[in-house]
Amino acid sequence: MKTLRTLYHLTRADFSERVRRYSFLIVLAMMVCAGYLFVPPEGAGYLVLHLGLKRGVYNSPWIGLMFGLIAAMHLPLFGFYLVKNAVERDRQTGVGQIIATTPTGKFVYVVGKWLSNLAVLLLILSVMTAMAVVMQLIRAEDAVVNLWALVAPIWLMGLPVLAIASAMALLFESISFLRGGLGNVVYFFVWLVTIITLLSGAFDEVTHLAQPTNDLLGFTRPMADIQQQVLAVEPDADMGSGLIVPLRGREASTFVWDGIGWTAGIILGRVMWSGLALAIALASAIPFDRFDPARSRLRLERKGLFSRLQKLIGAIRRGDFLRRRPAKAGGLQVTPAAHLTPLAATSKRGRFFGVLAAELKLMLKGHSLIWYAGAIGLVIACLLSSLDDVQQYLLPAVWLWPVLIWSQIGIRERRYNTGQMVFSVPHPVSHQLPAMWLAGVIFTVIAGCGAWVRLALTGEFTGLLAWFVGALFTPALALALGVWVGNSRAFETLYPLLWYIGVINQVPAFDYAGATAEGLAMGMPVVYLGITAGLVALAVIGRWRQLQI
Amino acid sequence: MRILATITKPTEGKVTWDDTDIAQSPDELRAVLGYLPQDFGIYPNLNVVEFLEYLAALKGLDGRTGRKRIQELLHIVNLFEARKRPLGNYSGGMKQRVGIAQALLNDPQLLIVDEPTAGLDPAERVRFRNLLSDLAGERIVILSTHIVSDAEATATEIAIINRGYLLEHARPERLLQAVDGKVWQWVISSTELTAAKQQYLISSTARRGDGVHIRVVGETPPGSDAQAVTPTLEDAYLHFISSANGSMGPIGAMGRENGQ
Repeated sequence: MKTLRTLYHLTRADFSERVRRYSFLIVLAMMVCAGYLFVPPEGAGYLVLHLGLKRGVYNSPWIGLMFGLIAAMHLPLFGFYLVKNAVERDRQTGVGQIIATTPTGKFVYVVGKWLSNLAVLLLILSVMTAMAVVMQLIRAEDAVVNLWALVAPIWLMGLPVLAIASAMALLFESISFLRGGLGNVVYFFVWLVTIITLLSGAFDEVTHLAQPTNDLLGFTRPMADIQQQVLAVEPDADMGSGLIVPLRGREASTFVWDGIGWTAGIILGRVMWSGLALAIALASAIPFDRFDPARSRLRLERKGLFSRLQKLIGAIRRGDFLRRRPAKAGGLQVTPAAHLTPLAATSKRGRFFGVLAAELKLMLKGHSLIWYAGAIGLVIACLLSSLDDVQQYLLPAVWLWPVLIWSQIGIRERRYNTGQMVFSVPHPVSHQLPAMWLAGVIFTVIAGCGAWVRLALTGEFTGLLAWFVGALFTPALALALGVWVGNSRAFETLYPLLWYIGVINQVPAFDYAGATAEGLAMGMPVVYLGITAGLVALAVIGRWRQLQI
Repeated sequence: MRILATITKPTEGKVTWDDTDIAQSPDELRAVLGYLPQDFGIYPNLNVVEFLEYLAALKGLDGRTGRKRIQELLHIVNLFEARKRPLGNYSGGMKQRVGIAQALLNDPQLLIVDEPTAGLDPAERVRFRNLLSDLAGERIVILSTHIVSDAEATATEIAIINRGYLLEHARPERLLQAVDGKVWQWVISSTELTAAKQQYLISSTARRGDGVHIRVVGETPPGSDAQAVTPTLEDAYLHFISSANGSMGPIGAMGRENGQ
């Protein structure tokens, strides 16, 4: 009973803290807008769920299935980033150390946080459900709202997957190396690979028919039922299905789907997936450090291996080991009164290049040797490989490897609480902000030098120019998101998505780095140059707002 | 303090520096400003030299001047031995000293220090007070503190602020004169202490062999055997704050918003 009470209060306090933030209201408002777009009217130019360019009439089962699919496929991605700060907040506010001194065990703590994560995502799911009802009434293709047929797919498909995403967020927060930006990027690929694997495994390669199973997303049973209904009327109908497709002038037709019976067996299958979520949540208690600062300090010391090695060599040279150790800094010492030597006048106009060099140095500090080794390896590989190999395999890696360094642009002052010191120096907007962006650009040019030198040597000058536009655009995107959102997660979520669509799948409109001939022909580098200017301007406005002056 | 440090814009009123409105032209002041915030962070992966080099660049110091200045400051704040350790491994007091060092980087004409001695050990506190006193000869130092002994040791002028309103702005001597003849030393039994705390404004208590020695701030002596004593700044502070709150009641009624 006492444990349940602890669990309840852990969940309630964390949930209340999160949903009372202004940013959460924005998320809910975005969900309302997204809900509106999920049910496009006739002539909107796109379909959300289709089967060979046929869609169901907007009745309760069809709208429920559409919202259910979105909840099961896309919400776990954005939801993960939204809730992956439950433990981090306790760590940053110091509340974690207070909790660590109470009798609350690790398992109770992680389950409480998991429930809180889940509660936040279920609140979003509730808003989606309400929007589904509203949208059926707005589109009015079927005036009768069948509440069970509409709510069942949204919650039965969405809830288990969201429970797993909530547990994954907790697991990533508990494992030290997945706690930060690396974890955000790793999760994106976990999500991507999971979706691709589930989709490719769900449909027959030749007939495109869904195999009804108790799959993670819970979509194969309704999809198989839809296919059967369509085939019964039109035996040679195209069975290829998709989620969110542009029509590009093609005609779409409709059919009536009455839904499936969500039987006890199906519901039990979905509950079983929720059990997996609980197992992941409980497993996260094992690596969880219970806010022990000694463990994170140890990591910091390990990271500074190189500087410690230098210190050791210095000490041996000076023969410090033969003498008594010097008194530790901070001990009681009798020292003479301090005086400060007057300085020659400092430049009132500031030294932009000094700030730029300082920002660049700051950007390059504190990364693991593995990161540097990887970056150097990419430069060498680009220089030694053929242009085809560079464009096909290495360029995508060059555009992803520095993601965790870009994501720090514009957020350091808030993350490390140095804003009051940095913003009270001269020219924080006209010097420090552009210097931060330019440092990001220079860093990108250095990290990607293998790729652009290879393009230059081969005479690919259009590609080379487009590459430099990418080098201007990427730090600008990081800067604008960093200044406005204040954390690295926004960039770490959006950028890999953009990279996946633009660089890997080579969709011309998203080709920010000149990876496709179509993109170059469409003049995308010019478009992204304009977007870059807009993003930098947005960052300047954001910084002005931060300064309140 | 944040308004003076150009971090926050005033909702009303104006702050000028050399006849320039700092809300309109903040860079005029920022060029000569040293600011130690009450609550600040550091970059944990940098060592103190790298961190100060970064801030020196932001403050417009050239590389050579900056490096020389940093060496000097590291000796002053007693961090020279720890200069190669990552800041993430520093204790709270050491971080505070990093903050003090960064505030002094550009030889500021206006030094604003918000609760600067929080987290410092006694030796460091004395050392920093001496430094502030030395620096105050050539520049304006604005220090905010709840530790009256810090103000006693360093301040030439004191402003007492209560819930955002200025109660008094005077030299320490004047503040002490205002409370002269209003501070009493009184010896009572320990059983009477609770009742005395509810009745009088008590600035200190000390248990001795002959009973509890309490120090009372009030217009009249709390008892016939109470002795008038020389007031301290702490007594003066309590006097002004409790007068502003409308009574000479107990300290507990004043709350946490009071500042000095």
